[in-house]
Amino acid sequence: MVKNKEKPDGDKSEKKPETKANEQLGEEGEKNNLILLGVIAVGIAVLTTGISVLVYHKSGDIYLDRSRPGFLPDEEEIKNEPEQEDYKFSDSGEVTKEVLDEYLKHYMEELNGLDEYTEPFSDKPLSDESLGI
Amino acid sequence: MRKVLVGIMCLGMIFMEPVFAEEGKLSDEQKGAISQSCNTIKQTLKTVQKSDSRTRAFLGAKYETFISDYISPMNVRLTKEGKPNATITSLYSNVLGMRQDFSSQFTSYSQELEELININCQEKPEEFYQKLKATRQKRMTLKATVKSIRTNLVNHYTAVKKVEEGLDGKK
Repeated sequence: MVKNKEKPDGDKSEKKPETKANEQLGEEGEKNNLILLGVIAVGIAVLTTGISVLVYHKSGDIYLDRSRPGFLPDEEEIKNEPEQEDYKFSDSGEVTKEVLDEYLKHYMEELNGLDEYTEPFSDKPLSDESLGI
Repeated sequence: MRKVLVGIMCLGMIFMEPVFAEEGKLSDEQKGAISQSCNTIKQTLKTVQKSDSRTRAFLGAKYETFISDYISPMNVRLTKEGKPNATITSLYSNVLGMRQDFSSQFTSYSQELEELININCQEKPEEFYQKLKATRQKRMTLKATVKSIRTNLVNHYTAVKKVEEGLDGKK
């Protein structure tokens, strides 16, 4: 009986080193899992960023992006932006001579504004003479 | 025998490829000019690149204004009022399509220009010049599209003017 009573104590004292070892293993396992989680998360972030940069280049959007270094609008360009009336032709209403007159007046102003850039994309800048070839 | 020989010679002349002087090849002088002033040429190209980007932004915004604030609502309004105009509708479709072409052509041209700038013209002047010619071609296509869009925009003005004159006549 005494022996039986002693046994559990004896058993407990035998188990203690094992449980400690198990606990340590458990902690190490958790740390490893955490590191692995971090590595996977960073890997996914790098992969998705790489894919979006690739799409950005391949789609050609990079060439339409004026926020790139070296392509930002100059100060002069920002200052010289003309203040234009916000005219927008309504898509409903009566079509009268007066309405069309006003439309054509504003339309012509826009058309004249378009001619601000004389000969856009002309051949001259890439000619042999301009490049000194 | 003579006739056979003459016949063979004639056939040979038909199938012989004519030899022309090589077109598009750089002269040694041009190669030297490119190699020597490579850095200056690249600086000029970068300036052109930046200027073109500005032009594209300006034209793109203008075309959007024309389409969304003028042409599209005019088309809708005329249809709603029971006065649909085939010319105005057709011009609207043209301008929309060309607007898309302008965007894709500019992207293609910019890509070409970027690749041109990245070529080492000191070591590869021939390759550089060939790429330059290709870039010029794309620029010409872009220029033609811009001109075409402008023509359509002017035609739209004329078409609406005719509608206005038609209203005058009825009164």
